Amino acid sequence: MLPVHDHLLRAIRPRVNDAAWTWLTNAREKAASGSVDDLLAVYTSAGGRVGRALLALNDEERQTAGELAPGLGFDRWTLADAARAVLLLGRFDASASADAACDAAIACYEQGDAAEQQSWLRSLTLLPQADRFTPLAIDACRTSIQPLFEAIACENPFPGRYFPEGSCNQMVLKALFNGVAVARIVAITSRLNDDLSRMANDYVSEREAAARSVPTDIWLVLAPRIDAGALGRVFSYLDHDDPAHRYWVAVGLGFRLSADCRPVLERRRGVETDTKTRQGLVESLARLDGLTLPEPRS
Amino acid sequence: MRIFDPHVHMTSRTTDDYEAMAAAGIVAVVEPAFWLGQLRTNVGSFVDYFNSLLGWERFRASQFGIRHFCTIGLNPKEANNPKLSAEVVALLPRYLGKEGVVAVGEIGYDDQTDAEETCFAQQVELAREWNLPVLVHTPHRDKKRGTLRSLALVRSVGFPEERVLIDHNTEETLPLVLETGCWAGHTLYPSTKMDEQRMAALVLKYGAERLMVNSAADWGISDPLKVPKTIAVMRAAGIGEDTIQRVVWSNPIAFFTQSGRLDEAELLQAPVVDRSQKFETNTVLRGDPAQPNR
Repeated sequence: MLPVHDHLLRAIRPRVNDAAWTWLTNAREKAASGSVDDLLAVYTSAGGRVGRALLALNDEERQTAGELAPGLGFDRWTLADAARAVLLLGRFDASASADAACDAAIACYEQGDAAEQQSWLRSLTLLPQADRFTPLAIDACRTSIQPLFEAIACENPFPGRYFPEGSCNQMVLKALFNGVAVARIVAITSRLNDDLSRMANDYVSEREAAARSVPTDIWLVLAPRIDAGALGRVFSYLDHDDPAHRYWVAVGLGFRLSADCRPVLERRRGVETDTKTRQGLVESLARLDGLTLPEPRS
Repeated sequence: MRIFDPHVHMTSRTTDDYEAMAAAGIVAVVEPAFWLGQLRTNVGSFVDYFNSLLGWERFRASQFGIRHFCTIGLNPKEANNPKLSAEVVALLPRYLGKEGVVAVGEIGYDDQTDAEETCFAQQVELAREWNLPVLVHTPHRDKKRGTLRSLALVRSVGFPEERVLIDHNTEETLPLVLETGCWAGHTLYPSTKMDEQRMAALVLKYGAERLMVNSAADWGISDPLKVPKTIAVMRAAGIGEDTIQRVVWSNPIAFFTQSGRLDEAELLQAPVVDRSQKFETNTVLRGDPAQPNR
């Protein structure tokens, strides 16, 4: 049993009643050694049996989870998500062939309703050889069901780790399009690239031409790699009335590869009145000096 | 004023919508084949979907006095599953010869992947083979580049530009389309894509030539009366009746007449609505047989 599998089981136990625990114990057996239909049946039933309440890990549990599953955010996980992850992990443990376990796992996704698919996507990086699921995870980003999109795009290290650049860029644009905070994409600053900044810049042009609002956090992916020639517009948003624009421009510029924006950041630091934006400016100047700081948060 | 909505997904609308559309002057619609809001997993669901566009939906529209045409194609979102997309493209010739199919579409780019490009190009070739125009969807994300790539693809394969309708244009993409010989569609949604005021401004700036407007109304937040609502705003903006008529009637007719399956004279005849009719044995319309004609 993988340590994360054990950890999830220990987290579920005190949070469910005896009837639910007994059900889960039996379900784990069916999931591990039963037919694919058995697995599908318990995967579906987990929602009703262990409940859809938030898993709500305590600080100690969260810390351990963070060590066992780096980058994965459990704060939005439900008990059903955790139970379903345990069922899939048990299937992999018991299967002689990883291919067969993979096929069974894929069946859980393809035949799942939206809640089951959400659980599945959240647990994806915990599964052995998770990279095999990349085509399905990319397909999942095509959904119009926002919670499903968030399950793969947010608090989930899968896209950052496995998506090719084009798919990752499309996912970031879709997040911006749908009002999903870009900072929720795990390790977003490790996936910055010229084309992403160019796409974000074209999106700002499109929104401005339509006299529509621009997502305030777009600058996190736009400012880092945009051509120097297009920096004028970025700088203009550093003086925007909305402090959220100023904050994200300040943060985004901290990820530029050259310090061409330093004088502008310093000037703004001299006049900035918003506390959060000031902090963003200070951190960005430190980043430009080569300091490694935690990922920005929304 | 007679109205032709060249892009509206009636499958997801109610009979109330059909009533309101007919009352607002909508005489004919084109319903492009697209996705179902989620990805299909097997070719059989495409078969049934295409059949319903050509059968049940066409009949349903007729019961409200609206002429229903469709376009058939594999939409770009679903072009990314290689096995399924090959099966669907292989299926298309079965449908492209049918009455009521006035173009191949909606095809084009969504995520702008290689798989989408392959299906896009294959379907342009099918359109050439079947002597049909094409309806090209432009992507939500990275739209300008997607539009440029679509125009480049059409040109690179030598498909006649006057038989191409590039849809969902914005202030930024319209001039790119008008530089070519392609037609330019505009989708008016309540909160995304284009709105009525911006559309009127575009007509004032560029005139009516090769411009069209549509509601695209589907299962998302949308409004099947967006074309008549745009007419009202264009009038208020001082745009002349002749210009408006071209945008909402003559242009879509001129474009889709290139299929050889649409006849303006026939559209101008008053439709006979007989709600005592049944589609096969389906009585779901529940019309009053005693008052068959409106």
